[in-house]
Amino acid sequence: MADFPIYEWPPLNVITPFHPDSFGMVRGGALYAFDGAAVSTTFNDELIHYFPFRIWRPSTVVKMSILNGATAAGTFDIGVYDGQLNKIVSTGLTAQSGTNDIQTVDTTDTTLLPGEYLMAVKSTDGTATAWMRAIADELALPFVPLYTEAGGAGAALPTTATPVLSTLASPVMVAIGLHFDTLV
Amino acid sequence: MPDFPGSMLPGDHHSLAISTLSMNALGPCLIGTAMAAVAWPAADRAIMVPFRVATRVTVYKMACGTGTGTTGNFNLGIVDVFGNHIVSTGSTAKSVASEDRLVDVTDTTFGPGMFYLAMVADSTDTYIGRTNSNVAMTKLMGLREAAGSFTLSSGVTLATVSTAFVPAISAYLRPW
Repeated sequence: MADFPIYEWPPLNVITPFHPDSFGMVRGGALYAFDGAAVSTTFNDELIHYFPFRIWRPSTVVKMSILNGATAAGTFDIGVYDGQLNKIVSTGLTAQSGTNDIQTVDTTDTTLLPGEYLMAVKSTDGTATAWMRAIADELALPFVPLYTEAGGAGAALPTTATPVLSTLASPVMVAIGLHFDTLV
Repeated sequence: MPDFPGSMLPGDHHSLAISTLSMNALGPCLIGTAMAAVAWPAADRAIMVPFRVATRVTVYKMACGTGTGTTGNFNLGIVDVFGNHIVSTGSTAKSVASEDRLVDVTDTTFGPGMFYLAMVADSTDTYIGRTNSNVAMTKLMGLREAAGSFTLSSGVTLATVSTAFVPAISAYLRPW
């Protein structure tokens, strides 16, 4: 056993963009409060949303989820990219099913080593909804790096991400989750 | 022994208490909405709030907030990711309304890792917490519940949460 103490900061049982290991670390005046202002919102058709997060100790993702809104339509894809923008694991295109509830997808158990990652979500249907928190760009982007990428029509998440800072007038944080526990 | 623990371990990520609102727990998920007195969702239903510690720590007190009414008893504790009992206050009479209730626990060392702050009441009297917009949001935050689990010392069987209620629970820590 090494004498030098290594402090490992484990994740909670889930990481969402609202959690401490992601944007939750930014607490400026309820900028992106999860509840109270998150509402069922229509996806931007084929736009990929990326949210950075950090892993502090090796942790295994076993499921991914999305908090569906009032309308389920089309398919979605949720995934994880490493710091080199390579897709590590994803749900693949999955039919959105159920409204105003979590939809959970089993994914290949994938161990994430300590480092910076991106979680990503894309819908192929511009009428599909999920719970999101939107805020005006002038209030968001000075504080949080929100990234997007135009995805291919009907396509799954790309093998390599090309995230750019969001140009949306109201960038969103989508209620998706990476689960480290089989119980959701 | 004074409650103020003196210096914590270098590199420690904690403050002196971990609560539902801490960075170690769900704090950033809950910004922007106030805590209030809310009826406990069901008698003997334990609710678990996930938190993590990066080092060995010793818990010596736990706390919750009572809402209106003085009926019934509560039990506060810490369980691990499998629902195994770490420490608990035991049954404690609510006895006063609209007050913080700090309760001694047996000094217990645990960590590092992920654990759950646990709270259960044997009535539907009110306690301090907040109610999410829907149950699904509480699920996505990672909370768990256990029915028929007032006696936390037996451990709990973790189950998917079925309430939108997020209780305010605190654990007071010293370095081990």
